[in-house]
Amino acid sequence: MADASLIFVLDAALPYIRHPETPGCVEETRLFNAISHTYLPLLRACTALETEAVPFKLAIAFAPTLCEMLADPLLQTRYIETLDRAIDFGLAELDRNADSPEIREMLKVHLDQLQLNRRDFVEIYDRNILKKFDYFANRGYLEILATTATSCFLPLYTDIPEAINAQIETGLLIYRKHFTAIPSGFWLPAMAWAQGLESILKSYGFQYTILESHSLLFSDSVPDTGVFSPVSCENGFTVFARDTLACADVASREAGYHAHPEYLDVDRDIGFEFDEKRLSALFDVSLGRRVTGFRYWARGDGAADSRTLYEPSKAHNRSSADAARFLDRRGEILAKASAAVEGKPVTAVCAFPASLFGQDWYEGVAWLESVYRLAGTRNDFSFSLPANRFPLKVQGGKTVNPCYSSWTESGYAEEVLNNANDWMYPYIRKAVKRMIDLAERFPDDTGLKERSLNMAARELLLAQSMEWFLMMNDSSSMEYARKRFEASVRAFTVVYESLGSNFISTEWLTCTEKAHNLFHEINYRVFRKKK
Amino acid sequence: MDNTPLSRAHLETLSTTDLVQLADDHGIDIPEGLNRRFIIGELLEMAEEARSDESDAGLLAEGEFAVNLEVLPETYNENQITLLLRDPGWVFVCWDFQTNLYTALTGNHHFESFFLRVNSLSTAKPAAVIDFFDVDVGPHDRKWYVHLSGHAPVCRVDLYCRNSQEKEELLVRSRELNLPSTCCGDNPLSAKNRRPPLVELSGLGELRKNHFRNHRQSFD
Repeated sequence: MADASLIFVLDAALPYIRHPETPGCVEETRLFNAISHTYLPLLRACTALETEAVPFKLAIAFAPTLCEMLADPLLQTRYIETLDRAIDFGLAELDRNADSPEIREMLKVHLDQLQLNRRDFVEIYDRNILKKFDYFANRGYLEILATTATSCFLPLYTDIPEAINAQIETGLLIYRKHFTAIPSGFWLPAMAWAQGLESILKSYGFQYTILESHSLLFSDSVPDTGVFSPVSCENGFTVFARDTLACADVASREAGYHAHPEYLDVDRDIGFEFDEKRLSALFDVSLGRRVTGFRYWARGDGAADSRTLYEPSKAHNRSSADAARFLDRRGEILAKASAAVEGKPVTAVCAFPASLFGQDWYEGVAWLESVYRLAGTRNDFSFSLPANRFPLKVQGGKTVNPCYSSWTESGYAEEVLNNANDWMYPYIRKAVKRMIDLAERFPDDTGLKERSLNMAARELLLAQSMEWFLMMNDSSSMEYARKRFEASVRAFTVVYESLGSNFISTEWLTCTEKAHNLFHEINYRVFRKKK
Repeated sequence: MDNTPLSRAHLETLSTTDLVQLADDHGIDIPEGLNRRFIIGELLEMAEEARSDESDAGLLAEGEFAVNLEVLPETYNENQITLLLRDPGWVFVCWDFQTNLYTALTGNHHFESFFLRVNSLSTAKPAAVIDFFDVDVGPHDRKWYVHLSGHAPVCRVDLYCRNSQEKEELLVRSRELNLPSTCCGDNPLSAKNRRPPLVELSGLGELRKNHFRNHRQSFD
């Protein structure tokens, strides 16, 4: 059997959104949908695979902001309340649709999932699902990669290494809080890479990361092994390249498996279709329409007026068939790759946003589970973790110098640096420089000053979240993104000015800390210059 | 609560019962049977922390904000220019002025314009200017996207003021930005050398087509 491996990596990221003052706000539903449609189904799939002794390996990078939200008691309670309202609503809809057996069947499917989610979340996982992911990591099924504190687009800060250090150090701090492993791999937000990051990552003890394929294929030292083997940078730091073609088979907008007509049309959600009165039991429409999870229609031919009722059994069969098709294709490609290197180890890396599975593609988690089940019956390749494959370089002594890249659609930074969001950079970069200055000026401070400085650092990290920059490209979310970004920059500036005037309102400080109830362990000194 | 300052001498004078009571008054939980030496140690440590907090709070005291931060500032009142790489073909430039200087420059009746000088630099130390071009910008402009037409390894952008009477005046100079060296520059539709089979299997052909579609200005 050839030494051929497939690696799956999920980017589990969400911006920090928590509004204690606004119960039922639309923005918090992003977290609830992620728990309901991605993370709980994923844990159920992992549990089933483990129980049935099906081998599975999966790497996940949990954004520290997501970890902090998943561990937040207020958000946990709100999630349960959301589930309860959805269950009551579903039961009422069953009565309302007494004359529509097909709709009732779909409602029952959704109700079953809601009740399962509630049971798992409350009774099995005791409200904190991270512990179960940690359990699977300790059993060797999962590898949890480290990542930055917030989803910062690092290449735009390479001239301010202190900003990158602060993101990495705080990210590590939060990793240690939620997980027990010692990470050797690092996930770069948006896989955004620029020359120089290899030195910083290596200095923190990381041994590898994953880059978009053109980072290697467009570099001035293209490895002969293409994307099929990890390669070393000049300093010995290892990079994997994503197999873009394999990922496109699954996730390509038009031609990916997820776009098949038999799959559930996740965009046609009753939250955007029913009238206000009917939805009032579910949420306050005045706070914004939202995804509810109640969807009845298949994707069909994609036409706006297409109304093909979703058939779960057909979709299930389709996901199994797509899983087989995916594995056959990978087997074929890996066999060719293996032959080309005369049987030396070959590896293909497929990295996806976790939201693809369950949220953007309802059947995605079932597909993933099928992939592992079917792969277990094959002997031409197996699944691995990056930690097990990074030493297996075929390149010998040749090193690479990966080029500027990201996994965004443009392949670079166009999505986070354009006319809609470029106004944010002067503010954020000024704040970063001021924070470094503050950390240098007050290296040993304690008490109220330390508390204020920690809050400034926290707000600065939040302001760097890539999501605000991306949301500025979308007219429906730009107002919220602007508000969040400006609020964080303002909070930072208040501390900065207060340290100059020697006065600060502890009431304001407490209030802001309560609103942004994350990174309690933060140490503003992470912004200090490395001597 | 007794407000006598907590010193070792004072604490040593108290009975163990009084020490336990004092610790309790200060919110320190003392397990039963704890040696009085440890109770004194705990109280002294607590007193030290309180003194430290007071000393810091003395520098940063309770009070209202002195600044109105409803709106983010339009300027930080400094001569400054930032250069960010958007993709291998484009850089983003943004700049700011020291307000007095800006007023003096634009108020001068010989003032003509501001302009950006985009320099291509060598990798030698110190870097030498290989080539440059100028882009006129308006007095109210604070940002610009610049296309890098050449294949220089390093780029720098300088902000200048143009005056009808004097020589152009350099206001501020950006950092030197290393530009990524990529091998995607040749047109994917043109004849090219054969690549190793695994590089082709990695999807290089498709990547180059997509890259050409989205970033054709980066190609020759």
